Amino acid sequence: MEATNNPPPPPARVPTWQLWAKENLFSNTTNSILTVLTGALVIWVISSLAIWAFTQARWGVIPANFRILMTGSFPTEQLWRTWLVLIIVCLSSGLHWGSLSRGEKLPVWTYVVGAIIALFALVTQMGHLSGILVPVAVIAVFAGYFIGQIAIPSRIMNIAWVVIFFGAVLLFTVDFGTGGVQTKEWGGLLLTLMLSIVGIVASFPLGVALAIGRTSNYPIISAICTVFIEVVRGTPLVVVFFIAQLFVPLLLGGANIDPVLRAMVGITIFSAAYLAENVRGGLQSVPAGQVEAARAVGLTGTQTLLLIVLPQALKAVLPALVGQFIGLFKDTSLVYIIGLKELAGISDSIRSNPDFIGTAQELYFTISVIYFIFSYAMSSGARNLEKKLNTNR
Amino acid sequence: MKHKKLVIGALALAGIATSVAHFGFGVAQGNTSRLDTVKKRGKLICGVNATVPGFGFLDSSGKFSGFDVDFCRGVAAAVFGDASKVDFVSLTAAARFTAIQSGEVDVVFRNTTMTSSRDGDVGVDFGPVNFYDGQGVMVKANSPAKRILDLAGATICTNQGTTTEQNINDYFRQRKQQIKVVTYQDFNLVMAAFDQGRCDAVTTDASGLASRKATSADPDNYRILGEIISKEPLAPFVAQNDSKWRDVVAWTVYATIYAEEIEVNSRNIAESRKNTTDPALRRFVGLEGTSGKGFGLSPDFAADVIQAIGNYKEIYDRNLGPKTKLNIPRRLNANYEQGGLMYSPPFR
Repeated sequence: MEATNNPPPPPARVPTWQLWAKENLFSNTTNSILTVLTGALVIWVISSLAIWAFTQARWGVIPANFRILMTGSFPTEQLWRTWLVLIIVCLSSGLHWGSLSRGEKLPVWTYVVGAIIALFALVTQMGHLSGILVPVAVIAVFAGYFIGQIAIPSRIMNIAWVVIFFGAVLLFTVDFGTGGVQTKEWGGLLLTLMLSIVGIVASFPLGVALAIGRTSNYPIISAICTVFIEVVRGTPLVVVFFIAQLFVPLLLGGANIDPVLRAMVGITIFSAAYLAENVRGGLQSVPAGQVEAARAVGLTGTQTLLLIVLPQALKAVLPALVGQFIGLFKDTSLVYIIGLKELAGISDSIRSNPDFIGTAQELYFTISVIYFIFSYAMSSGARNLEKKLNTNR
Repeated sequence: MKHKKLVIGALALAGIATSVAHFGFGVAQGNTSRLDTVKKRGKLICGVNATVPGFGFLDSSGKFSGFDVDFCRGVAAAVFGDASKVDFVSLTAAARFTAIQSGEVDVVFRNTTMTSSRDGDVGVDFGPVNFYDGQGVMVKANSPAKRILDLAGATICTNQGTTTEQNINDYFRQRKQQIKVVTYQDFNLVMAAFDQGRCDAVTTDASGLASRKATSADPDNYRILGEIISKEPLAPFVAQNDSKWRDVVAWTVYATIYAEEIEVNSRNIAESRKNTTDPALRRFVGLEGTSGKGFGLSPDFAADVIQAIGNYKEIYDRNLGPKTKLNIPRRLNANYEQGGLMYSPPFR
């Protein structure tokens, strides 16, 4: 009863959702109509997707083929290799993350996500071992994070990644006396990741070299690089794969070049040409004064390039590079046309299994979620990197 | 000076061209047969299609499986006595002939129709047909059409990039009738359009129709018309001019067909190859005669094939038969004794 005597608080000061909606969604008639229309569209899409997902979709195809979606024909008795690499990668990611974010507290959502993944694996017991190994991998991330915060300088992690990369390639092929693994047995997500990582790692130096070559003062080097870049950029990736598949064997007279290696070379060459043009843009954005100043203090041409020009150029084009790497990651799906069984190819093969005919939607939905998770991780990682590198502000 | 460079350049180009020609197409022209290459390698490399239901796909354990895949294993068993000594390469339609010409694969079992132009122009040699397919037409169960010709004036749907569209058009044009053909990107979309009533009938290979019908939610909804409007004999192929290697592939296929005729299968072969008295069977399993020797194989290669993959009926039933979801009737693929076309020359 007392409260009625008090004047009501001024409503405009409290940011309620009604107010937010009025300002942002219904500020005038046109906006209101647009809001209603897009809202209806969104509801229609989501509800029909949900109806399909919960009533029609035969999700059984995913758990039944989960192993080959992840690793393809990788021999079962050799799967410890992929688990070992996964756990090492998780540990190293944790270490790197921790070492980069000293003194920061871990956001709550990471615990939630980690717990959900671990619980999901424990409860569903996807394969008898993964129920234990997935939680181990999750724990490795967190353990790495706390150790990394205290003990590991991030510089060491850069070297560690190189070691892990070559170690993983070795581990995915070499025979330790119990039978090795052939690249043609790689498949699913494993093959997608190997193609993208090799493509990114190999095309980066090649692309930077091509960019420097194209801007070089030596006419022959510049001409060779320009021709290479323009020819490759004028060719669709699909055609590059067809050349790798149809012409390379003819030219080499049946010498059996590993098809996975052929795909890797194709992706690398293709990506390097595009990367070179991005990097060239960066090189041109570095003011001439920087080079002159560097030469004035006595740096050699190479030193100027490596210490002054390139760091600034790469920083300037970082968003473009990451965009290109995300594109490359998704473009690896094109290798299905040369018969490789990465995520898209393996989905095609699974839905040809008489037990799973007509499950194309379920499979494509699943792999697009997988593609999204990795692409989003790459772009948000790049955003953090940009923030760290941004010394201008 | 300028001239000299030109000459050197031309020579280099000519050199590249000849070496391409030499290596590219020299595989089968040499004196060594592919059989020797395969034996030396210790493994067969077999080209397959990994995206045809029942014929070639990856099973849930990541192994190649299917009707064509089994024949690859059969060839490995014939050469090595061990069906596991085979590596599979999954080939696209575009790459299958190049893969044979370049020697990347030894043999291709990949639902490929044997035609005169492929045999003559492309430069491959076909083995015996291991599956007789043909284009058929499927209608809804309640459709009034009894024969394909009853569909005059109707809308018939099929998928793009195949000869099915041309075949069905030809069929009605020859009979001075009109139809409307609508094509879709792939057969999943064709079936979706069919179910929504946008097509009166759909057409593709009969085996494909049978598997679509069998795996649909309600198979009784559909009816496959009896007629077949095109010949699609699917056969393995090897590089041209290598009859020794072609023989191995051919008689591996024949062995499976012959075994069905003489009622030898994977269960009774072990007993038969030890102590049978039937003279035909004794020759087949290599206890008498020299059938395997002439091919450069062991005398009991046929027994190895049957032990590994079974006879034709077993292979068919395992991958396409009534116990599978596909349930494709044998029809032309029945043995000649049951009125089909599967007929093997004798082993003697």
